[in-house]
Amino acid sequence: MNKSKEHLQNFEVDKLTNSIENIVTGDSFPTDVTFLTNKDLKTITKKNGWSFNWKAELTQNERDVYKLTIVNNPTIIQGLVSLTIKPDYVFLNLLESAPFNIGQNKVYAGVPGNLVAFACKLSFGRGGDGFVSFQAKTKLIDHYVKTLGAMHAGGHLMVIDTLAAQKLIDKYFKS
Amino acid sequence: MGLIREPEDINLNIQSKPLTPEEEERLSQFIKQRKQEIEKKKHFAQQKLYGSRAAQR
Repeated sequence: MNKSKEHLQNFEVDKLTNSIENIVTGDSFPTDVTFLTNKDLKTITKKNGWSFNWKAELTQNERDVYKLTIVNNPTIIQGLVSLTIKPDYVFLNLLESAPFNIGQNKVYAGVPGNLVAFACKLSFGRGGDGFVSFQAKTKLIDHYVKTLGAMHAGGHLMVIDTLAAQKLIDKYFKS
Repeated sequence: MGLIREPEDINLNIQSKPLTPEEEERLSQFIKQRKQEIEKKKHFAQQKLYGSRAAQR
Protein backbone atom coordinates (compact mmCIF):
# COMPACT_ATOMS: atom_id res chain seq x y z
CA MET A 1 0.00 0.00 0.00
CA ASN A 2 1.24 3.47 -0.78
CA LYS A 3 1.30 6.42 1.60
CA SER A 4 -1.96 7.89 0.40
CA LYS A 5 -3.63 4.55 0.96
CA GLU A 6 -2.24 4.39 4.48
CA HIS A 7 -3.66 7.84 5.02
CA LEU A 8 -6.99 6.68 3.71
CA GLN A 9 -7.09 3.83 6.18
CA ASN A 10 -8.02 6.47 8.72
CA PHE A 11 -10.71 7.87 6.46
CA GLU A 12 -14.07 6.90 7.87
CA VAL A 13 -15.23 4.84 4.92
CA ASP A 14 -16.03 1.93 7.20
CA LYS A 15 -18.69 4.01 8.89
CA LEU A 16 -20.61 4.61 5.72
CA THR A 17 -23.59 2.33 5.79
CA ASN A 18 -25.75 1.32 2.89
CA SER A 19 -27.50 -1.87 1.93
CA ILE A 20 -28.05 -4.64 -0.56
CA GLU A 21 -31.16 -6.72 -0.96
CA ASN A 22 -31.53 -10.48 -0.81
CA ILE A 23 -33.26 -11.53 -4.02
CA VAL A 24 -35.21 -14.39 -2.45
CA THR A 25 -36.34 -12.90 0.85
CA GLY A 26 -36.37 -9.22 -0.08
CA ASP A 27 -34.51 -8.43 3.15
CA SER A 28 -32.06 -5.53 3.14
CA PHE A 29 -28.64 -5.90 4.67
CA PRO A 30 -26.45 -2.98 5.73
CA THR A 31 -23.02 -2.99 4.14
CA ASP A 32 -19.53 -1.68 4.67
CA VAL A 33 -17.05 -0.46 2.07
CA THR A 34 -13.43 -0.96 3.12
CA PHE A 35 -10.05 -1.42 1.50
CA LEU A 36 -9.29 -4.76 -0.14
CA THR A 37 -6.26 -6.40 1.49
CA ASN A 38 -3.74 -8.96 0.34
CA LYS A 39 -5.35 -11.43 2.71
CA ASP A 40 -8.65 -11.08 0.82
CA LEU A 41 -6.98 -12.02 -2.45
CA LYS A 42 -6.84 -15.70 -1.53
CA THR A 43 -10.48 -16.09 -2.47
CA ILE A 44 -10.66 -13.47 -5.24
CA THR A 45 -9.46 -15.70 -8.05
CA LYS A 46 -10.57 -16.59 -11.55
CA LYS A 47 -10.88 -20.16 -10.33
CA ASN A 48 -13.55 -18.93 -7.91
CA GLY A 49 -15.43 -17.20 -10.71
CA TRP A 50 -14.05 -13.66 -10.53
CA SER A 51 -13.43 -12.13 -13.96
CA PHE A 52 -10.75 -9.53 -13.32
CA ASN A 53 -7.21 -9.76 -12.01
CA TRP A 54 -7.64 -8.01 -8.65
CA LYS A 55 -4.19 -8.99 -7.48
CA ALA A 56 -2.69 -6.92 -10.28
CA GLU A 57 -5.08 -4.11 -9.46
CA LEU A 58 -3.92 -4.00 -5.88
CA THR A 59 -0.30 -3.53 -6.92
CA GLN A 60 -0.99 -0.30 -8.81
CA ASN A 61 -0.20 2.56 -6.47
CA GLU A 62 -2.42 5.16 -8.09
CA ARG A 63 -5.46 2.90 -7.75
CA ASP A 64 -7.54 2.31 -4.62
CA VAL A 65 -9.36 -1.00 -4.38
CA TYR A 66 -12.40 -1.35 -2.12
CA LYS A 67 -14.58 -4.30 -1.17
CA LEU A 68 -18.26 -4.33 -0.33
CA THR A 69 -19.27 -6.63 2.51
CA ILE A 70 -22.33 -7.12 4.68
CA VAL A 71 -22.01 -5.67 8.19
CA ASN A 72 -20.83 -8.36 10.64
CA ASN A 73 -19.92 -10.65 7.75
CA PRO A 74 -16.62 -9.18 6.56
CA THR A 75 -15.18 -12.32 5.01
CA ILE A 76 -17.75 -12.68 2.24
CA ILE A 77 -17.01 -10.11 -0.45
CA GLN A 78 -20.11 -8.98 -2.36
CA GLY A 79 -18.34 -6.82 -4.89
CA LEU A 80 -15.15 -4.93 -5.68
CA VAL A 81 -14.27 -1.58 -7.18
CA SER A 82 -10.96 -0.12 -8.29
CA LEU A 83 -10.83 3.64 -8.63
CA THR A 84 -8.41 6.46 -9.17
CA ILE A 85 -8.79 9.81 -7.46
CA LYS A 86 -8.26 12.52 -10.09
CA PRO A 87 -8.07 16.23 -9.23
CA ASP A 88 -11.59 16.95 -10.53
CA TYR A 89 -13.31 13.54 -10.51
CA VAL A 90 -13.06 9.89 -9.52
CA PHE A 91 -12.39 7.39 -12.29
CA LEU A 92 -13.72 3.84 -12.03
CA ASN A 93 -11.12 1.44 -13.40
CA LEU A 94 -12.90 -1.80 -12.58
CA LEU A 95 -16.12 -2.79 -10.88
CA GLU A 96 -17.21 -6.37 -10.38
CA SER A 97 -19.97 -8.08 -8.46
CA ALA A 98 -19.11 -11.35 -6.74
CA PRO A 99 -19.77 -14.40 -8.93
CA PHE A 100 -22.79 -15.32 -6.77
CA ASN A 101 -24.28 -11.87 -7.37
CA ILE A 102 -24.35 -12.14 -11.16
CA GLY A 103 -27.07 -13.44 -13.46
CA GLN A 104 -30.51 -14.84 -12.81
CA ASN A 105 -29.47 -16.78 -9.72
CA LYS A 106 -27.76 -13.88 -8.00
CA VAL A 107 -28.07 -13.75 -4.23
CA TYR A 108 -28.06 -9.98 -3.68
CA ALA A 109 -29.28 -7.08 -5.83
CA GLY A 110 -27.82 -3.60 -5.82
CA VAL A 111 -24.11 -4.31 -5.57
CA PRO A 112 -22.93 -2.28 -8.62
CA GLY A 113 -25.12 0.75 -7.84
CA ASN A 114 -23.99 0.58 -4.26
CA LEU A 115 -20.32 0.72 -5.24
CA VAL A 116 -20.92 3.55 -7.72
CA ALA A 117 -22.71 5.53 -5.00
CA PHE A 118 -19.70 4.96 -2.77
CA ALA A 119 -17.43 6.37 -5.50
CA CYS A 120 -19.68 9.45 -5.69
CA LYS A 121 -19.43 9.89 -1.93
CA LEU A 122 -15.66 9.61 -2.17
CA SER A 123 -15.61 12.16 -4.99
CA PHE A 124 -17.46 14.69 -2.83
CA GLY A 125 -14.98 14.09 -0.02
CA ARG A 126 -11.94 14.45 -2.25
CA GLY A 127 -12.77 17.66 -4.07
CA GLY A 128 -14.38 16.16 -7.16
CA ASP A 129 -17.83 17.61 -6.42
CA GLY A 130 -19.32 14.14 -6.76
CA PHE A 131 -18.15 13.69 -10.36
CA VAL A 132 -17.41 10.09 -11.31
CA SER A 133 -16.38 8.79 -14.71
CA PHE A 134 -16.03 5.37 -16.27
CA GLN A 135 -16.12 3.63 -19.64
CA ALA A 136 -19.21 1.66 -20.60
CA LYS A 137 -19.90 -1.01 -23.13
CA THR A 138 -22.03 0.41 -25.94
CA LYS A 139 -25.05 -1.74 -25.08
CA LEU A 140 -25.03 -0.52 -21.47
CA ILE A 141 -24.78 3.24 -22.10
CA ASP A 142 -28.56 3.76 -22.07
CA HIS A 143 -28.89 1.61 -18.99
CA TYR A 144 -26.38 3.74 -17.07
CA VAL A 145 -28.13 6.90 -18.23
CA LYS A 146 -31.47 5.62 -16.93
CA THR A 147 -30.41 3.95 -13.71
CA LEU A 148 -27.45 6.02 -12.54
CA GLY A 149 -28.37 9.34 -14.16
CA ALA A 150 -25.02 9.21 -15.93
CA MET A 151 -24.27 11.42 -18.93
CA HIS A 152 -22.70 10.15 -22.13
CA ALA A 153 -19.53 12.15 -22.78
CA GLY A 154 -18.81 10.65 -26.19
CA GLY A 155 -17.22 7.37 -27.19
CA HIS A 156 -17.50 5.00 -24.27
CA LEU A 157 -17.05 7.70 -21.65
CA MET A 158 -19.73 8.17 -19.03
CA VAL A 159 -19.90 10.91 -16.42
CA ILE A 160 -21.96 11.10 -13.25
CA ASP A 161 -22.27 14.77 -12.29
CA THR A 162 -22.87 16.47 -8.95
CA LEU A 163 -26.65 16.30 -9.19
CA ALA A 164 -26.83 12.63 -10.19
CA ALA A 165 -24.18 11.76 -7.60
CA GLN A 166 -26.20 13.38 -4.83
CA LYS A 167 -29.28 11.42 -5.87
CA LEU A 168 -27.33 8.16 -5.77
CA ILE A 169 -25.93 8.97 -2.34
CA ASP A 170 -29.36 9.89 -1.03
CA LYS A 171 -30.66 6.60 -2.40
CA TYR A 172 -27.99 4.41 -0.86
CA PHE A 173 -26.55 6.10 2.20
CA LYS A 174 -28.34 6.82 5.39
CA SER A 175 -27.58 10.29 6.74
CA MET B 1 -34.27 3.06 0.66
CA GLY B 2 -34.11 2.47 -3.08
CA LEU B 3 -31.99 -0.01 -4.90
CA ILE B 4 -30.84 0.15 -8.46
CA ARG B 5 -31.74 -3.19 -9.94
CA GLU B 6 -29.47 -4.38 -12.69
CA PRO B 7 -31.09 -6.28 -15.56
CA GLU B 8 -30.92 -10.00 -14.88
CA ASP B 9 -29.53 -10.84 -18.29
CA ILE B 10 -26.81 -8.22 -18.25
CA ASN B 11 -23.52 -8.33 -16.41
CA LEU B 12 -22.91 -4.83 -15.07
CA ASN B 13 -19.19 -5.19 -14.47
CA ILE B 14 -17.22 -2.12 -15.47
CA GLN B 15 -13.83 -2.52 -17.15
CA SER B 16 -12.48 0.85 -18.18
CA LYS B 17 -9.50 0.96 -20.49
CA PRO B 18 -6.77 3.44 -19.57
CA LEU B 19 -7.73 6.83 -20.99
CA THR B 20 -5.74 8.26 -23.87
CA PRO B 21 -4.46 11.85 -23.44
CA GLU B 22 -7.19 12.96 -25.87
CA GLU B 23 -9.87 11.22 -23.80
CA GLU B 24 -8.47 12.71 -20.60
CA GLU B 25 -8.64 16.17 -22.16
CA ARG B 26 -12.16 15.63 -23.49
CA LEU B 27 -13.30 14.36 -20.12
CA SER B 28 -11.78 17.28 -18.22
CA GLN B 29 -13.42 19.75 -20.61
CA PHE B 30 -16.76 17.97 -20.29
CA ILE B 31 -16.59 18.02 -16.50
CA LYS B 32 -15.43 21.66 -16.40
CA GLN B 33 -18.33 22.70 -18.62
CA ARG B 34 -20.84 20.67 -16.61
CA LYS B 35 -19.59 22.18 -13.34
CA GLN B 36 -20.08 25.66 -14.80
CA GLU B 37 -23.62 24.77 -15.92
CA ILE B 38 -24.46 23.49 -12.44
CA GLU B 39 -23.00 26.64 -10.83
CA LYS B 40 -25.15 28.78 -13.13
CA LYS B 41 -28.23 26.74 -12.21
CA LYS B 42 -27.46 27.17 -8.50
CA HIS B 43 -26.90 30.90 -8.94
CA PHE B 44 -30.14 31.28 -10.89
CA ALA B 45 -32.07 29.30 -8.27
CA GLN B 46 -30.64 31.45 -5.48
CA GLN B 47 -31.54 34.66 -7.29
CA LYS B 48 -35.06 33.36 -7.83
CA LEU B 49 -35.33 32.54 -4.12
CA TYR B 50 -34.05 35.97 -3.04
CA GLY B 51 -36.41 37.61 -5.54
CA SER B 52 -39.46 35.83 -4.18
CA ARG B 53 -38.46 36.65 -0.58
CA ALA B 54 -38.00 40.32 -1.48
CA ALA B 55 -41.42 40.35 -3.15
CA GLN B 56 -42.99 38.89 0.00
CA ARG B 57 -41.59 41.75 2.09
